[in-house]
Amino acid sequence: MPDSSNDGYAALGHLIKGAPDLLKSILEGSPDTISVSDVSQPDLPLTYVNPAFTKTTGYASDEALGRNCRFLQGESTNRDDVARIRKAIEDQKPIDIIVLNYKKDGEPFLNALRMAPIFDKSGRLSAYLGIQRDITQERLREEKEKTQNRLETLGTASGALAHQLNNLLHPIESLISLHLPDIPDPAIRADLDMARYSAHQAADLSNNLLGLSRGEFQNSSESTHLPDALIRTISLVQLMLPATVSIQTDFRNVPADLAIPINETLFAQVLINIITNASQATKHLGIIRIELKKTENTRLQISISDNGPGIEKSDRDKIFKPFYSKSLSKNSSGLGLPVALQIINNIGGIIILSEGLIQPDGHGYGCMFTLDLPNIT
Amino acid sequence: MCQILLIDDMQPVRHAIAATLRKAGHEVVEAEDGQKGLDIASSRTFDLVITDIMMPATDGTDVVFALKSAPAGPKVVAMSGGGAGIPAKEALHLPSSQADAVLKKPFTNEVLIDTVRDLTSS
Ligand SMILES: Cc1cc2nc3c(=O)[nH]c(=O)nc-3n(C[C@H](O)[C@H](O)[C@H](O)COP(=O)(O)O)c2cc1C
Repeated sequence: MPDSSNDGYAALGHLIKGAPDLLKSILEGSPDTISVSDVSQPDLPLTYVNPAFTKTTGYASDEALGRNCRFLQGESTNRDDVARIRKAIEDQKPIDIIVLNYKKDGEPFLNALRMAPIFDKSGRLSAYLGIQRDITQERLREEKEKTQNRLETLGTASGALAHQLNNLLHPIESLISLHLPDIPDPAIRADLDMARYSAHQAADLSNNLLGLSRGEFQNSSESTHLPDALIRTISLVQLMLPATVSIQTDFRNVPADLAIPINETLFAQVLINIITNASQATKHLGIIRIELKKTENTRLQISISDNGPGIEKSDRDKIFKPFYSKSLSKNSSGLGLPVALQIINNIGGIIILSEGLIQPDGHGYGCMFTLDLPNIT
Repeated sequence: MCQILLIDDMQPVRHAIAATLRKAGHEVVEAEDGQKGLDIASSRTFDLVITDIMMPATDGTDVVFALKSAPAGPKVVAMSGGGAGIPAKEALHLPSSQADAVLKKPFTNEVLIDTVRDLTSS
């Protein structure tokens, strides 16, 4: 019995003696990806990738071996990230880095890459090891939670603010109204009336803020009432967007008691995302039309149309894929619409893309997002 | 003309409500918290007590219950705009079971005067 305590090499030697193929089986069976590059050849060509690598990236081993692993990179991969990897290799240092990569079918994914130089027992650099992990779904979940927390905080803060404002606005409006009739000079009366009107507008605004926090964003109720929640969310979005964009709504012919099986924060998150995108599409200068209609007894539809440049038919499913919109706009996280779709799908809803409002030049059409949702009233 | 006790911790709000009531011809005594209000109410009689609900120290809900538990007490109006995280409807839920009327803040001068008239005309 050899003494194997604390000596990995000895233990492995022992292992191999008993089962010569076990190390190979471990690499082949590992649920984590393993990729190995040859350091004796120029440009670090891959000499081994395991089946998990193929599963994660879509590339079979015969498509990967002999090539430098940079084939996973693409258009939107951050060049600074690549430079950091290059530097780590030059310095023979391990590196943990999150880098945007592309699968064989072109789908972008977020790769949590760990790379390390492997030294043999005598300390000589003998290979490079890379372990790849697709963390796209984790990111989507985080993004969803982050936005949800933001909205909840916003609801709490705006509610507290609105209460203070209301308490300050009540005396202004009440006292001006009380004494206005006693002012004989019509010019002074007109001035005070203007002051009262402003206080009234401020109170309206404050009540809108209050609507956002009225428990709706904090409670965990799994149903959201329409059109109330829609109106609340739109007034929030209006505060977030430049005044140059025009949001039109028409809920006159809608029954007042519709409900969808979703928590209001998530619902607001989806709408804010789509409406903000629509506004951006029109460079914040266009028109956004929001409609709500009951389509059958158990379904309803919310449509958001804009008169921006529209979305090519061929791109219509792509925009729901993670990181796709990142390549269109530098400041997009590329996760907004994928998260929105996930939220809607989770409650048995779908998002339909079609042509929206006619463009200002009268030639083409903008984009329309229709949320088709279960109605649970 | 009625004798009205008005309880609200926010001085400017209380002032505006009191001014509105006085201009309508009522006599108003003001109190800045629930305990002071109850003390005043026990020392003399009022036709009507109007109390805010969410106040520090003695809460308006306690005021409503204390006044309504006594036989032949005054009419009571509970008013609230809610508080941070608490909708007005929720703040008024408990008091509304006892109060003769509730007022959801913000309300107009007209609504205030009408409410007082409805409760005291009989
Ligand atoms: C074993 C190994 C695995 C690698 N895996 C990845 C990977 O999964 N994704 C990636 O973007 N780069 C990966 N790289 C890094 C690239 O192959 C390359 O070293 C990097 O792009 C920097 O070099 P360059 O600037 O010459 O392209 C890996 C490198 C090695 C040696």
